Amino acid sequence: MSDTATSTGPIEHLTRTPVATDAPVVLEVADLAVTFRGSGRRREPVRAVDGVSLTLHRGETLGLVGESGSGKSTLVRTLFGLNAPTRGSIRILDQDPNALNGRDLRRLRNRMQMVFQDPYSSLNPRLTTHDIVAEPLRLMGRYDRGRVIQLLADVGLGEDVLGRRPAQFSGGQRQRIGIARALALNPEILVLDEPVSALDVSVQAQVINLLIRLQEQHGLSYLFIAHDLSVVRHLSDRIAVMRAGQIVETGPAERVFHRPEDAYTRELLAAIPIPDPHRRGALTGAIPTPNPGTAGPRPGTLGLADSRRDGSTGPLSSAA
Amino acid sequence: MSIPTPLLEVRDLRIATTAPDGSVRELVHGVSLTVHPGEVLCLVGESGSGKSLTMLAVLGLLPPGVEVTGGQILVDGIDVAGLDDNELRVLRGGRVGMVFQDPMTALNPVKRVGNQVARAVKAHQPTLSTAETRVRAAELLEQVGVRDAAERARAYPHQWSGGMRQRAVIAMAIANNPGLLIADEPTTALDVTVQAQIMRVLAEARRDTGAALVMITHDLGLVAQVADRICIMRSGEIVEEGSVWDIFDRPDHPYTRMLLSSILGVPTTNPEGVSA
Repeated sequence: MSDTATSTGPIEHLTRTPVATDAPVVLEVADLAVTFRGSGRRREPVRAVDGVSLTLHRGETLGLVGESGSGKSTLVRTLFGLNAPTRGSIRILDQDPNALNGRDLRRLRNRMQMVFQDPYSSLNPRLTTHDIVAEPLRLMGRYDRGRVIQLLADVGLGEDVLGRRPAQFSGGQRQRIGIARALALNPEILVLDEPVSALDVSVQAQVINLLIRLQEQHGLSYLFIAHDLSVVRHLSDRIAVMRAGQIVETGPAERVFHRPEDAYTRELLAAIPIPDPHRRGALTGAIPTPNPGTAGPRPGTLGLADSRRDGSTGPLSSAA
Repeated sequence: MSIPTPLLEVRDLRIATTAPDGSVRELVHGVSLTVHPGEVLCLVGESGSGKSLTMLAVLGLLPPGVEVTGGQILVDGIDVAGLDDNELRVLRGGRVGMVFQDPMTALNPVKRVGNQVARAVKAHQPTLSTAETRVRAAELLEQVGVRDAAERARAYPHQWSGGMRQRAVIAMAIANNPGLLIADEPTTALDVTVQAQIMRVLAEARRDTGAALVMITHDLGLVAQVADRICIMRSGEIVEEGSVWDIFDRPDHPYTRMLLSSILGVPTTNPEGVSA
């Protein structure tokens, strides 16, 4: 079952209204470090997060980009108290989660919720949609069937889905259910960990549009974690690039994209395959190719495709 | 100029699955495609569109309960349906090399990487001695950019990174100079910088061997960068086929247009050209 089964019209991309930079800070991370005990012969400690500082303003989207092993997941786990910080501080909505416990901590946690990457493993397959979305409400003693229906409507799902279980939905629909659950307790901050990377491209666009719409409706602040720079750029006000436990560059999204200051950011940008056959070669870091115009030369005479035919060792081998 | 025999010709292929209750559901409805020597064909479509099934059928690797119910698959003009298991084994890894999405599952976790590459060589060149096979395996690993291959070949797959493992899988795929490489989402599981390295390795391997490539992917960026021709698949059918220029500049089918319109945040300047 595909989300796009019913419509094949072109997808409109919603764009966001930029957020004023003087909006109040809702999440502040200062000099955060998380060190794990090492394994192997030398038992060197692993500095998974190594002195990270971030701020997230109300209504803003901060895109956090990094490749596997960069420490972004450890950072998120630490924000939710699943790892203990070795050093540094976290302030969520002006409170220190590490200084709270019991009811106060639960209350604070209600205000920052999480949307997970994998819509397959993050929903309990044995619960109905109704029960999945109702669970946070029930836990807080605020269950209300009308609220469940409203939450599902907010993410574009009708009452007919209430009795269905995750296996009966496509990836995109499951991710909508995950978002409805995250919104159940009216959070102010959503941490989105690769929320679209498991989805097909056209479904990605729909979920991203949904996130943009929900953000404006509810005044949400997003910490959006992804490895896909194109997605991050589309919906972030600012981007932070993470590598080896450190933030190597932070800045307004368009500035980071057009004038990256850090060598690693440039490497990341250069590795994005450009979906335009007239601009071949960027993928391999090869020389830019001339625009062949609308007539177009024979494919395979440019960039990546050529070296195999004529046996030349042009851009490919020099780039390797 | 004579027209070369297509390397791969799929004619009106139908694939169906039979449920335990005996009901038959058709998954691929009459797909036809042709791959010529040396070219890159990208099969594009969303999950469940039948692109992987079509290519698994070419290799005779359909999962249990899923069968070819109609049409023909010709590799070098020979009908695959007429081949017995032994002949199919000669085809797979010989004339046709395969690269799958997840290198961890494509490799055996309890065997040294080098031995696995050596085994791919030996399976198709049984007359080689063990020493010769080992040398050839190391050469193949060097060819896909593994430095100190002879030394590192002694490692187990879990000791290699995802990108390195995919290099090993590519080394196995090109071990017997295939005419055709089939790659099913070869970089989906990898980071974007590693993806760029692997695409380079694939391009170089193809330059060295002259192999054609059928790449299954849903990444339109990759498609634009590597494809000569593109088949757009949806719900078990090819809805549009054309050169990379046709598809990106003059898409015809509404579904193709929808797919292209879903592309996000295309970099408008080449970051390579930006000075620091």
